Amino acid sequence: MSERPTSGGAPPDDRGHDGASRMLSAVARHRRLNRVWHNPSGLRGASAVNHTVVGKRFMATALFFFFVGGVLAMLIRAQLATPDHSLFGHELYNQFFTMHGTVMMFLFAIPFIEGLAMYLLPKMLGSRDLAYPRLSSFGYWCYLFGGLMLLASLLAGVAPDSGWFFYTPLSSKHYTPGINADFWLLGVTFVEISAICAAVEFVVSILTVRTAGMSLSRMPLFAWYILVTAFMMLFGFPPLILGSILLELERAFDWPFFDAARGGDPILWQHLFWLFGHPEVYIIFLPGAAIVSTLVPVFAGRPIVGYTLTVASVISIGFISFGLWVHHMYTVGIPHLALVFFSAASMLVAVPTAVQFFVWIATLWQGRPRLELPMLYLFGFLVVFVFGGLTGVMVALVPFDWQVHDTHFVVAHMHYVLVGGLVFPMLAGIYYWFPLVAGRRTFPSLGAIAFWLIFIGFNVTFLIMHFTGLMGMPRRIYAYPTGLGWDVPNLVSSIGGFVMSMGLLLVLIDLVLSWSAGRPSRRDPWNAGTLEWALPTPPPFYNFASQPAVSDRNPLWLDSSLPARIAAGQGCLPGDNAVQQETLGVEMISGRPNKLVVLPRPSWLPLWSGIAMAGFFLLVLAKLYWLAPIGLAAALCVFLRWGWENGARRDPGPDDMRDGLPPHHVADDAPGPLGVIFTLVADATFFASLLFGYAYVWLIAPGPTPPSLADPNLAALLAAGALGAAWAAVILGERALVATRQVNFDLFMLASAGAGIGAVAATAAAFPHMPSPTSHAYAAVVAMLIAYVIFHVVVGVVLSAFAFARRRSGFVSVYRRIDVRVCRIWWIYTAATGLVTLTAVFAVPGVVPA
Amino acid sequence: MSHARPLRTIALTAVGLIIWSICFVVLYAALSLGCAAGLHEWSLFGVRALNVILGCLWLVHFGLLGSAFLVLWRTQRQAQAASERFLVRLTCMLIVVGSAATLWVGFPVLLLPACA
Repeated sequence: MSERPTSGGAPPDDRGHDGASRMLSAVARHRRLNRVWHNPSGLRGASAVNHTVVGKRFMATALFFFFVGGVLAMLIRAQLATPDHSLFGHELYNQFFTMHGTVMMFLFAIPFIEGLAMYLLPKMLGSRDLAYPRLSSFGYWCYLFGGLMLLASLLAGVAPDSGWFFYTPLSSKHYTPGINADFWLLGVTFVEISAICAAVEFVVSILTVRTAGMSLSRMPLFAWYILVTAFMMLFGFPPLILGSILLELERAFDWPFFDAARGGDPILWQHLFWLFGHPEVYIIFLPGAAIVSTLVPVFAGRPIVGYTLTVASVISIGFISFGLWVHHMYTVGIPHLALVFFSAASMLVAVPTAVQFFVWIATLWQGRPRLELPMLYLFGFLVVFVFGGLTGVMVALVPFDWQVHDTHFVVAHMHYVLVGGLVFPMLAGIYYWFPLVAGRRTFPSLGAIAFWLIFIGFNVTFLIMHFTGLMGMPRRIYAYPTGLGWDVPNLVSSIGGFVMSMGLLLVLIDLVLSWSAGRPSRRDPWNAGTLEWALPTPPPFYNFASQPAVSDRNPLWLDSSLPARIAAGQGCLPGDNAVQQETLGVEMISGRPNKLVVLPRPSWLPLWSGIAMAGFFLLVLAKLYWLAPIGLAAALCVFLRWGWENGARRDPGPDDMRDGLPPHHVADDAPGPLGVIFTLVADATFFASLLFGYAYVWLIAPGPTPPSLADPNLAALLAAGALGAAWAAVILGERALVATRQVNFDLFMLASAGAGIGAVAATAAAFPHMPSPTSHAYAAVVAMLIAYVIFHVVVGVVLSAFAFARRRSGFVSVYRRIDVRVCRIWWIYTAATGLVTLTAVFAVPGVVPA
Repeated sequence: MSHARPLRTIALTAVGLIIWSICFVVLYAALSLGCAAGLHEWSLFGVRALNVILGCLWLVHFGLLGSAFLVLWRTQRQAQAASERFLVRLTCMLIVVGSAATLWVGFPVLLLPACA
């Protein structure tokens, strides 16, 4: 048995050297690395998985959807410009405002943030790529195909028309019988897969794929913001995914989750939606604030004041923003004390937000601010977002909210928060990082004119809209009569909207012109301190010729020769002998290198899996329910193929070490199992939301009393036993592997798969004894819970069989146990959620009466 | 501060806010279930039973916050590296934030009738 490969090779010195001489010139090193990290162009470019390519694709696609959403906004403003205007009827208007909100929230804001973070994070963290390049690419295809589904519905005239929050019963089958609602539910769920993929990608990459010496305390603030945002996405999106699945099941199979007459409750939809919807506002704002916290120190010419305080305030926002969801539901009839909980939390979240503002002001105060173009947009942000925050505190107060609920006051507030919180910082960021991306400067005077048009246009549109709302004009009306005092404010808003659009168009013209005819930019044109500016512009696919060892939060301010030393190979992994794509992996807290993360080459698998998933969603949309599983099965086949390509068939030897670091296949904190853990965090949130729904329809929802389940206790006990057996078998299997009893390992893996099949059979045996899911919402939720468990057990069986096959093929050894650890983590989760489900469904109702 | 399980160490940095989150969910769930079960119609020594229950649940979380602070106080001396000291400071700040948030969100249980 060979000795376990460890990171105990020649330790890098403070600059990351391992003492070996560097033979290649900077140009030769660049050529070599470029060959290894080459990404195809043209049609074959669809197989590219590099973070630079995928990040730019995300941003470009998001900006296209921003344009679509903007056109829809202009149509809305054209319709409302004058009273009794009838450019189009209410059917079309409903589609336009629904799609405006949907496109802006789901297809522009979040994907743009994802793209920006994908592009920037490795460059800021001193890394060569993200932890899972193919996952990013898969996420992009899910986003693109889901977005195109929604866009197709608009072009076909059957776009969703129930508002972007999709309240039931308006969105239920009875009131929206057409395919419009299905487009929204399936399209948004498809796009959300992309968001979950990105969140897992960001969390694992930020925690483990940084450069040497970049401890958590030296990480750029941008990475902290994205880390918190990514966690919020893991906890925030699953309730919406669950809600969408439940509503689609109700529409497709008549499972009455939201039908009050059969024990469901439309309010349950509101809970699930806003459990996502309010954190979503902060998921959008925090990356905007990340840009601000990155740019303010640069233009103030000094490090940020209160780094730790800023991190604390960002984490606080991340938590507290989840305690606000009911502040969108003040009018639904909730006890006053509960309203006060949410009102208090709504006011509370303003405190950490304000802390950040004071941090930015203090940084500017202590520094020597330069008013360059990105800074102009930041001032726009400061003014607009503060105003939106103040009206936010107003609507956090229950009595005031009751007065302005569903009026244009709320529309104005929301736009101040979202445009202030994301669009202004985004534009600042675009102008700031454009020289890095394109290698050219923009035209400052054009950008400044665009800023004033956007700033003035925005305030003309939305400032007066507060008063329109206070005068009682409701949201979502396609026409209004004259004589109510709404005529002039609406006309002014519409004029402002078109002025703002002209400004945004000017930005687009500026960027297109600059891309082809802008003045070439030197490296680091703003004198910034973060690592992305140590790169050549535009950056090569591999980012860093050698990965620098850092000892400060602003390495370029500490050492202006760093770019030259990176290019000269005076850092870690200089790439002189590079034959595969690799980057440093580090200990999460200290930033000490402990592994070599080996990254995949361009691959078509993400595209094929995206197409397979698109097939599934399209078949469901076409109501071909019995064919739809073919799409899922095809996706599963591609994923298995994907998984099969990972890893190595032999234990790493000395030749596989770089700078004394072993490949990640043998590391304890390898990205694979970590990714599964964070995926399961999102999954657990989905499960918790489902349990919440179960408790809600059982104990809270009005309507007929839930039916009692027949007595399937024997089946439940058998299922519980089988789940426990599968869990135990996987644990014992891993122990057998460690003890090099490989035959025993094979047997335990097969046993876990067999136990899983037994659990599915026992659970399925309980089904015929239970009331029909169409009879009562309670029965429907129980069926959903059991389906959830069965799905996870089936995946567990596949994983056990996969680990068995991988061991037989030489991919698994006592050191290379990633497949087995993934399998163990999955089975532990599946068994735990299965046991909780069986207890909740079959044991608790016997003790607690409905 | 142990780095043997870095994921756990990082997660525990937010222990103050985790306790706040639990307190928030527990108070809201107990209120909703208590109202559904009619507990607000009972009284203990002239005080509404549901308010007493909610108040007790609220206080329990202060106990948890205090315990978290004590544990942090004991372990902070072991922190030597800059990254460890950073995490200690961060944890301390977030316990303070969690305590203030728990106080702010929960004190209405002492003032308002539960299910009105």
